[in-house]
Amino acid sequence: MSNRLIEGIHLVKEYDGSRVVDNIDFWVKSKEFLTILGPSGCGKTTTLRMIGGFETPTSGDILLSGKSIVSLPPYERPINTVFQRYALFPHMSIYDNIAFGLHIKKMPKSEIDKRVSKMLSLVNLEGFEKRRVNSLSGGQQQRIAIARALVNEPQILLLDEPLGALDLKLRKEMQLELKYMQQDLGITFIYVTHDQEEALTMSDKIIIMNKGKIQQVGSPTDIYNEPENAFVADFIGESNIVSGIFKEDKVVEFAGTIFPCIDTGFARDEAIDVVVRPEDIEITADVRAQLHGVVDSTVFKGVHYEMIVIENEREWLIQSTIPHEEGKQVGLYIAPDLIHIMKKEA
Amino acid sequence: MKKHLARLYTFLIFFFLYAPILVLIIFSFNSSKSTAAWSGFSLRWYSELFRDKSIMKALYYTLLCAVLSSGIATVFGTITAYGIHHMRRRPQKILLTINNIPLLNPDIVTGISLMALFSALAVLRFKLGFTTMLIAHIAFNVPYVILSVLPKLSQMPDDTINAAMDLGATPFYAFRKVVLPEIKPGIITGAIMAFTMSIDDFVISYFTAGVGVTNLSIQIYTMARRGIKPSINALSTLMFVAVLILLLLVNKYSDEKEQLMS
Repeated sequence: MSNRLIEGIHLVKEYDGSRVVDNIDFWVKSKEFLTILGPSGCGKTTTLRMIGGFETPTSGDILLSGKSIVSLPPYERPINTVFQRYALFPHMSIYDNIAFGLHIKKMPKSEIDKRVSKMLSLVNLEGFEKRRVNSLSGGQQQRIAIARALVNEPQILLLDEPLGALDLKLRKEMQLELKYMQQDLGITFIYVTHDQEEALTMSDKIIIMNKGKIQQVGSPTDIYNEPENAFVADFIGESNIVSGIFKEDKVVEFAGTIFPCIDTGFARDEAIDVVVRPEDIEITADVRAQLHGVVDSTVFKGVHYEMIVIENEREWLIQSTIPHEEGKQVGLYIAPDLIHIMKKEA
Repeated sequence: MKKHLARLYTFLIFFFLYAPILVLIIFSFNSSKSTAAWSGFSLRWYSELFRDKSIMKALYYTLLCAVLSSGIATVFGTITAYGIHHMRRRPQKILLTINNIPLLNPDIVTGISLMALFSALAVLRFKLGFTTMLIAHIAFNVPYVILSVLPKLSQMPDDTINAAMDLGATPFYAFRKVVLPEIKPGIITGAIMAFTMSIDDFVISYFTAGVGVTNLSIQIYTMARRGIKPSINALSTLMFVAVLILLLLVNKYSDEKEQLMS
C-alpha cells in the first residue's frame, strides 16, 4: 500500500446521466510513468482532469499518499498539468509564463531567475526568457508548457495528449525527451494518449480504457504480448483475431485445425478468441505448415512487407521481411507460444 | 462609366448622411443669429454656450452620468459576461437572448417602463432625479459591455484559467492576472461604447431624470422648443465631435487587437 503515490477508488463521472468514467480503480507508484491509453471518448481525459481537480467525480475517491484530495481545488494539489493545447498565457513573456507558479509561492526573485533558466535549458530553449508566446512554434510552445509545469517540482505531472498537435518527427523526439526528463527528475508522470505506439515507447505501466471502463493494466510488453480481450488486442497494434474452441490445456482449435499452444486455465470446449500478431505468423513451404492459403496482396512497408493471405475465406494479416508474390500458394505456421487465447467478449 | 456611377452613388449616400451635420457645424460658426444666411465666421455662439449656466449644469450632469454609468456598467457587465461564459449552453443561450432584448427594444419603451418602475418605487421615497437617470443609464449600458466582453472570453482557450489554477492561482488571482489582461480590449471597447451611449441618450433620460435635472440632450430639446438658436448648433457640434472621437477610439482599439491576433 505504502508505495502507492496516487490511487483512484471506484471513480465514477457522469454527465447528464451518461457515464463517462465507469467505476474505475487504479494506482500509480512514485516515479512511475503511467499512460492511460484509449480511443477518443473512452474517459481517459476525464480521469486525468479528475486527478488534476478540474472535474469533480460523481462518486469514488482519489487518494494522494493515502489522503483524499477529491475536495481540494486544483490550486491546492501538489500536481501540475501540461494541457493539450498548451494553454500558455499569451500576454506574458516566456519568463513570466514559467515563473507564474513560483511568483504565487512568493519565491525570491533571484531563486525564480535561477529556476527559470534551469528549466529553459532542460527543454533546450536557453535564452528564450524575453520572447513572446506568439513568436514560438508549436513544438517550442509545448516545451514551455512542460517547463512551466515542471518548474514547480510537482509530485505528479499530468500530461493530456501533449504531443497531439506536433508533427511525427517532432513527436518522436519529444517522446524520448519526455521519458528522459521523467527519469532524470524522478517525477511521477500520468500521461494520456490515444496513440498506442507512444504509450508503448514511454510507459512503465499502461492502463487501457474503453467506454469508461479499464480494459487492461500492465507493462507495455504484457499488454502487447498478452492482451486480455479482443479490444486490447485490436487497439494495441494490428492483430488477427479469430474465434476458436479451447480443447484442453495447451491445445486449441481454430480455423478448423488443432494447434498446440501454451495457455491453460480455460474450460474444456470453451468458446474463446484467439489473437495472433501479424509478425508471429510464419510463411513456410515445409511440413510444419498448419494452414494453407493464397497470397492476396503484398505491400512494402519499409522495414517489412505486409501480406494478406486468404485461407478458407479467412484473411490473415502477415508481416515478414521476405515478400511472397500475389497469387502464390503458401503454408502458414504459428509457434505455440505466439498463440494468445482470450475470454470471449460477452 | 460603371466606376463613375459607383462613385456617384457612394458620394450621394455620404452626402445625405452627413450634409445635415455639415450644415449644423458650418452655421455654429455663423456670426449672425440667422440659421439660413451666412454672414461671417465667429466663435460667438461657442463663448455664449460656456457662459450659459443651465448648459454648463447640463454638461456637468451629462459627464457625471456618463462616467459613473459607464464605469459601473463596465464592472457589472464584465462580471456578468464572465458568469455567462462559464454557463452551460442552454441557460447561456437563454440569458444572451434576454440580454439582447433591451438593445432591440425601442428606447421609448425602455424609458417609459423605467419611469413606471421608479414611480412604483416612489412609495420607498424614490424620487425621479439624477440617481434614477444614472440607474437607467447603467441598466441600458450593461448589455453593450456584455456583448463586447463575451467574444474576448470565447477567444481565450478554455484551459487558460485551468492552467493558472493548476499552477496555484486562486480563482480570483487567475481572473486578475490571466483573464483580465486577455479580455482588456473588450472591456475598454465596452466602456467607451457605454460612455458614448450615455452621452447620446435623450429618450430614456427624458423619462427618468425628473424635474430639475437635465443632460445635454434634454437641454438641446428644451432650447429648440423655445426656438432655434445658433448656440444649439454649437452645442450639437461639440457633442457630435465628442462622440466621433470616442467612436474613432473604439475602432482604433479593435484594429490594434486584430493586428495582435494575426
